[in-house]
Amino acid sequence: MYNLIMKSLILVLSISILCLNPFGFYVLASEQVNEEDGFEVSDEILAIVGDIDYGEYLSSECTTCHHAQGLDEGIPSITGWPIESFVWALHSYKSGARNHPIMEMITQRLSNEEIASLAIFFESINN
Amino acid sequence: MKLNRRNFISASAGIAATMSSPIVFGASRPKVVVIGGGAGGATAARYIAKDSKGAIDVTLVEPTRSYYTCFFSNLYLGGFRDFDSIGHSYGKLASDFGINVVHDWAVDVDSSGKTVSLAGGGTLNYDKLILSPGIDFVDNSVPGWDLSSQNKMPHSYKAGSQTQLLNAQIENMRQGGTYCMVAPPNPYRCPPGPYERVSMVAHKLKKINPSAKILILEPKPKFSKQGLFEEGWNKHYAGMIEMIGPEMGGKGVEVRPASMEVIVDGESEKVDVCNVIPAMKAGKIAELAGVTDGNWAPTIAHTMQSRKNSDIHILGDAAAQGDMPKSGFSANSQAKVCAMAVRGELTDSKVFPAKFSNTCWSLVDTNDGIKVGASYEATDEKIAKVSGFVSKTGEDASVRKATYEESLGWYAGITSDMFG
Repeated sequence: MYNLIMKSLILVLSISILCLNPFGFYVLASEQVNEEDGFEVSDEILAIVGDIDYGEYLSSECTTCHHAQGLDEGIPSITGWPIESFVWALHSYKSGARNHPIMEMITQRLSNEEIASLAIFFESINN
Repeated sequence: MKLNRRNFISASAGIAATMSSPIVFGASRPKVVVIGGGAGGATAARYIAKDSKGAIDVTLVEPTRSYYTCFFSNLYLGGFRDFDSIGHSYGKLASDFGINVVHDWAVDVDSSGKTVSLAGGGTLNYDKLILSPGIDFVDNSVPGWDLSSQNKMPHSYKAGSQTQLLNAQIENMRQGGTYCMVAPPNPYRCPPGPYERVSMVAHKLKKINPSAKILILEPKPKFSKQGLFEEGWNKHYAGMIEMIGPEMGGKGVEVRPASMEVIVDGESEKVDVCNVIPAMKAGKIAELAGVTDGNWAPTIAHTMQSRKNSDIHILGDAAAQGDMPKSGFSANSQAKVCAMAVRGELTDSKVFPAKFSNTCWSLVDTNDGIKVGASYEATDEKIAKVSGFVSKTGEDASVRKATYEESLGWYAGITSDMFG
């Protein structure tokens, strides 16, 4: 169920990002839509409520590459995402359903609680 | 709370109010002095100031007013970036984060009195000192070369005027001339850097001087991303690049700057541009602070503290920390662990387990980007590699293009993370 909602949500996000930035994101965006068929995140994982302070600390590993103010040149913006979209996206890398060497490496050592904490922190950043 | 200009002003107003009371809050704030405003030092200063919300007095000592990043300086040589695009000011660290930015050279550290002496005559007190001085060169590692010859034979391994000088020499080289690189021995700053530079020089020469040659004098039996670079050189620059490895005389090269000669295995060769990248060591101030052991400064992985002095932390290229390569990304990653540890000690803030990561992107030719990266953890012995990845030979052009575009995003991200 959640994967269907997510696919349409990601599609909408991808289209909006494509409109914003016709360069750089196209390949990533098309991967997002095509390679995650059937990927689902369990209700237990989605129910975890993260710790925003811990998320802020963990976020420093993300902001070396993902621009903290939400620019998306070459690397997607991760600020202001709905929590469930963020959790789903990170788990899709962690499980290998979505492929990107850096994102797979980073997410494979994040616990479910750490992903929830990152999600709640980045949701709170509005640019 | 994120410290931005508006709430920084309100935080300052709070400090001013406290100062009018009998206890002078400003005087009691713990002091952190950071020496070196690159990927390690600027990041550490910014994170400590941002996350302590004014509770820690942060001073950053950096001699240059505009900082030119070593990373992406090769892309300037290749014609992919303007020189100005790799320059950054410290203005936001002062205005938005309240950091006292001192443009001066730190010339000595008194670790018992906990003071730093500046070339301009001033003295700074510290409770915690963070050293992120980058690299200096090992004397006589390339016989015939010293700092007095760096205009004839530039290293261009500290970005700035040296980078512009090398660029001018390459652009003015005679048709059919030879650009020679004396590559550095391990360990050194930015392991793929010399070979990305060869790629970028080849890219430029192919356009403006297609009969030119590139000669690499290589002291190491193998180097970072070698298979990927060699694949790219054969594909894009066939016949242009020659490498003489250690067994053929690439190790132990001498140079004669006055006559533009390199001596390889006893044979003299005249070259037109000679880019000498000598052996490296920690920036001199680390040695003066008494925290080096040999060429580098050993650190404790959990906190980036010196193994010789717990009040001093060492970041980036200068640190002997274990498995991480000496890169801007590594320094930035280590700075965040260090900032958290320093805040924990000085203000009892929460300390979480250390985590590190690194990725190095390199450009081989237009839209042909490659990368290598790894994640790391702190052990009692060192920063230890957990897992890693590297681009593959024979990758599709669309993957290479996406990798290059990703590196542009990373540059925007890390420079914003360093300078605000």
